Amino acid sequence: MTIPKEVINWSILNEIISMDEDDPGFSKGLIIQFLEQASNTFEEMEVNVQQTRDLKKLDSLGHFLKGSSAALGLQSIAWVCERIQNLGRKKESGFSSTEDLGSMASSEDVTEDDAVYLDAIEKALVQARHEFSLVREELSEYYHCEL
Amino acid sequence: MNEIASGAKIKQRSPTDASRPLSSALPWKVWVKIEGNPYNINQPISIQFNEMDTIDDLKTKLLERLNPSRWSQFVDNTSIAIGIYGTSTELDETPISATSPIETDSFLNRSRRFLPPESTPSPPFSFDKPSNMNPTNTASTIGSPHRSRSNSSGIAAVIPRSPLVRYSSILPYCNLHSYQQSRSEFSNVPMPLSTSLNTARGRHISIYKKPFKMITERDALDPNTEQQQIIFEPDALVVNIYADLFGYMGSQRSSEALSVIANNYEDSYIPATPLETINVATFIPTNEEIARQILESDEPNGKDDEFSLHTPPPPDLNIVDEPEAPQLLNSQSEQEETGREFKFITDEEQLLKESQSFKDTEQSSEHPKPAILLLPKGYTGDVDFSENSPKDDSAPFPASQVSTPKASAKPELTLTIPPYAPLDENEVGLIHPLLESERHKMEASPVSFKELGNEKSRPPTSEFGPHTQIPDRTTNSTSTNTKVFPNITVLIVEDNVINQTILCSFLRKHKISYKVAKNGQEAVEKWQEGDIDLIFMDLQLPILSGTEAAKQIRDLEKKKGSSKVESDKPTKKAPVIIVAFTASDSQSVKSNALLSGCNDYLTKPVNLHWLSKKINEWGCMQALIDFDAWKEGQSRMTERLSMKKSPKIPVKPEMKHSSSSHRIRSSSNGSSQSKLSETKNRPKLHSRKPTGTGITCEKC
Repeated sequence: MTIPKEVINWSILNEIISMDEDDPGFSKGLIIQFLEQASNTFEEMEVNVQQTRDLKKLDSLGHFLKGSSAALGLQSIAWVCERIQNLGRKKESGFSSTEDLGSMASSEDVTEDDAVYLDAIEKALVQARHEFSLVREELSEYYHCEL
Repeated sequence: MNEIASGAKIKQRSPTDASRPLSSALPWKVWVKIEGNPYNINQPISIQFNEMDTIDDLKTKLLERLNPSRWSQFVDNTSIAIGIYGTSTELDETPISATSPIETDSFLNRSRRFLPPESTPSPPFSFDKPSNMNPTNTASTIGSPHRSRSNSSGIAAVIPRSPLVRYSSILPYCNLHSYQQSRSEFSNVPMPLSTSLNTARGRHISIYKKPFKMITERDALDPNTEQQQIIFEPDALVVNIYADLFGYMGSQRSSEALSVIANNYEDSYIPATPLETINVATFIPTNEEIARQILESDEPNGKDDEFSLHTPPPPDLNIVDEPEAPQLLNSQSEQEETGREFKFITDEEQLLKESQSFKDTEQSSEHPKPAILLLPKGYTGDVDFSENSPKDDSAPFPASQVSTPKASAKPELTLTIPPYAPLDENEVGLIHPLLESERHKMEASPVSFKELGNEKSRPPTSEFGPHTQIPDRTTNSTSTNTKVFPNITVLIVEDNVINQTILCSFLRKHKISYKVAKNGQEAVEKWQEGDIDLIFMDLQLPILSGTEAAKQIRDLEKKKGSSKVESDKPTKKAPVIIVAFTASDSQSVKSNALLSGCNDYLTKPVNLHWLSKKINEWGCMQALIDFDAWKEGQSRMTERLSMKKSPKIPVKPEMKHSSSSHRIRSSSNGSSQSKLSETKNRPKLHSRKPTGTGITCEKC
């Protein structure tokens, strides 16, 4: 299970964009709104990782953002959010960002300690922000303006 | 191989190398790299090929390979070319340099890309081989750039553009002459580079000929070095080219990737400068011109090697050129173009639509015949016809960013959600004003669905006055090919504003009235208000989860049914249909949803196509049940009196189930056919859901 190659699944996003026909600017507004929502959610996740250390909350935040990003076809963000969600539920053992695929083995010996999951989520969050910037880039390009 | 090993970027082979056998031990693959691609495919891509593959096959393979990517949606086989970069030093050695001094100079002074769009004067439009300058050729060659230029004022069109005018496949009528010629030329015979075409971004596009030099890193070049973009013939064998360029199979490095040049996305950099000088009535070669061209290509041409064409430079940033425009117009048969218009067609639907409106306009004869310009699928771009004649205002534009000139037709734009405003989460319970009026109309109409149940036969267009937010012509045409949905009210239960907006928008687009709830609690409340036929319920919700909400609703339905309170709620007839949105595909989640009382589920992210199917399927069912109830009135009791007690048919227990189920089956479409056909009547439909829905007839 690896992160989707394409940051954006355009066949999904194009469905949304097709609604611009009736409602010019609809998709763009939606995207802008999403970008805002995503940044806020990342912030909130950050707080939950660093301070409150609330796995349940992280689970639901992951779920929340997964929902909207998937609906927009922003599949890489959705994917990372799903990881966060699963980590929050302790259903996955660790997160390997693209940089440290090599150190996968070290995460094998998982303890039931929340800290392990929080660490993994922190990594995932970094990845999520990275995917987010890629998405922003690609969409800015598409809409010919800085989003 | 030493040449490569020594790091030489430039490599030249003797023609005999071409005959060198390629090693068959290695998989045959060639590296290609997409040139100037804005879609983040900047890695070289290796593509396998076989002995018989031509460049065209290679393009096909590349497109297949990149199939899901953004890039491939904007290009097709004919809009990309594969080539390499070469130096002009080599070209200078060839007996006939394709470049005239004028051009060379002017292009040397011009940087290749991203120049500010200010007024760098473009070079005089020139043919350096006057002998070649017969009128037909002139007209046909400039046909392409002229068109793209005329569109370039704000139109980022994915249409044939000048840089690759070389290929007849791009503009079939444009270059028959040179195409056939060069085909015959391309035979691996060492031959001076004979053909140089137009210049693109200061580079010359040439047809691949040996000998030549290859440059793999353009940027390493002195900017003043004249650069040649050398394009391979589409029917050249990849094997041959590979052998020429790299020698033995496998000796190509990824850094030596062949360039894939597409002719579309440069457009995004083109500023929307109006070109008053050019009438958008764009050049189309007439049949005679094409015929003449074909004839010419058959003529023996003594100047084979000298064949050279210079089309005006493609619309680069700095080449939004007024100076050229008059020439273009002059050189063309102007009288032919006047009165022609273009419309942008992006998909089949619209083509149909257009051909219909074409007929219409023909009848009304108010407008001249419009020409139809086909754009590749997925075309989105700026279309600005403002410089065009006022006739154009009747043309609907499908592309997303199109600003329809018919501004007068959309004063009600205020009805739509302002794109930048934060979404209104309190949209709950709010029906779009348009829909509201829509509903009123429908209710007032003697043939409304609720009454007669034959909405499908009613022409939907009659419902929309000019007050709709869409220009009425668009409305007309969309409504003819969009599905007509039953007149039902849908409750959307979704906590994420984004998804809410998408769903709302979708329903609004299909003129379905809806309400919104953002958690389970609200959903139950909204449902209790009545009038809901169909609920789309996200399962993971704050406060009260979707499953809990579904359970509550079913419980309430049961209670209502048994306490016979239905009389004071004449609106609610059949139990509401709950379609769950499950985030995961897991069976446990799904059966959980069904257990809690949902009738159906969709997996998120919800595919809008499936969503509309579900709306139609369940909506029709609901509407038909209601129809039967209405039709049968109070007069009839069926033999299935036990149904009466069923909470799911609280209002009209006397409805005839057999007939309704029959209709349901006939009205349901594809996705659920099997599911529904198992169902002999409505109660059973529910009873086949696991258990505990509270609405099965067994339970009553």
